[in-house]
Amino acid sequence: MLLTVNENDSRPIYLQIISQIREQVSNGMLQPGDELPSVRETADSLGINMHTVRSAYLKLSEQGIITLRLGRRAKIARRHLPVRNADLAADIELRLKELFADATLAGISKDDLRKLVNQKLAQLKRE
Amino acid sequence: MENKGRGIMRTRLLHPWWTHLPAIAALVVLIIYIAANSPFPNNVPVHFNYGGEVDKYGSPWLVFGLVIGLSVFFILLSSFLDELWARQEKKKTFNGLSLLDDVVVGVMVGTSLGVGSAAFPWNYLGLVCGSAVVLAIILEIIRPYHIYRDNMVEQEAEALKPEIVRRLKENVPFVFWDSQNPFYITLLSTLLPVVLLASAVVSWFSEPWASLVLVIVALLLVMPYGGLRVIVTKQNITIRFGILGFKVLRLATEEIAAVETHQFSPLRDFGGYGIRFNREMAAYYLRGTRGVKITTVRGKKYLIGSDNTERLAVVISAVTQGSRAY
Repeated sequence: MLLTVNENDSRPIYLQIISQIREQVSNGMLQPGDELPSVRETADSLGINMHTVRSAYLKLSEQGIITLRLGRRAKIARRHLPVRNADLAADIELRLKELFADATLAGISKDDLRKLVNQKLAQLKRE
Repeated sequence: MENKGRGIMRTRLLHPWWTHLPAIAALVVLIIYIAANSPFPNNVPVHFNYGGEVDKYGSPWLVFGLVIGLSVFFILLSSFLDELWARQEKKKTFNGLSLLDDVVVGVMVGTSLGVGSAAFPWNYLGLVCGSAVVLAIILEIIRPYHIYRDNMVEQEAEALKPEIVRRLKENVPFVFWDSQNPFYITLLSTLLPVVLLASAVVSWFSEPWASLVLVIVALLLVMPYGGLRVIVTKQNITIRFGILGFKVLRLATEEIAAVETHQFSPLRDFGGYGIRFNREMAAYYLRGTRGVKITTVRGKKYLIGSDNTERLAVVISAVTQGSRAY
């Protein structure tokens, strides 16, 4: 597991941690059953507050990505994929639309965008 | 490394032939004595007390059998010791932790022998625990290993390198984390201490010192619970061990001279699992046969076991090169 804290990132640190762990689960670097470092270990090695890491872990646990059990180390959940429902798909479609709009406004050409999307798709976990 | 350990059986200590002369002389004298004195009397002294008086008589064949039997026993024992010593010389291996295993087995056997007369079936308990340990180790050895390894091939591990280098360049704090926490560790470090503590409680009334030993051994056995963690940051590689997170190794990335993946045999090269030493390197692993071999600038070698060896190797080498460059 690779975690970074970037001060230049506008997002709060706990959101950075959440998105990194989600990304690593999606690309297969973290597998179901893999252990995560303890809150204290993570906080110490990144030089951040324990409660920041704790809130990130709690959020991830609410999202069903990891399992937290008292006295055990956090683990990547066996079934981190929620049941596929229409709302979720619609939400992702909406976010994609927004992203594409942003890209177009930033002057990224359609070909470059296609290349980028393909590259990100290739990085996803092999089915 | 592949040739290491082969030919151990052929490495015996050679004695000059004349070292056997006293034994041959004793044997010859014995045979002549027997021939001169036959037939034997029916009763011969077989035991003497401290005053030098005979306190037991028996058949002469008993004496004969004892002499031959004990000779054979001592010859076997000495050749066994020779063999052990030869292996030690060849392999240059000593495992501090294997002593712990021996202590545990010794304590279990001792308990079962010492309290065997009581109503509680200690020897059965000892047998059950012993078989549980053996079973756990066998299960861990035959468990298919590929389930840990199919998640990342080498090129994918290589993709991590630019990520690490980018973080080093931008000077943002990061941590890479890898762990091994196999099932057998959890089993051993919960089952055995519970049994030992139970026997400590029972034997407290008859043998308080023995139960103290049992408690200490139980505490020692809990320590590996929680497994092995490898933490890589820009400055350090840290290995923590056990539930208390003892720092068993901390290497500054500047001190690292070479990083490579390494294939090893846990039993042949190090004699088991855990924190192990041989004359070449110190090894930290709980599972598997592959790890990352690190050589420091002072020439010391360390082996860190990992389920994702390529990934760990790529990260450590990237950090090592990067911490020099940026």
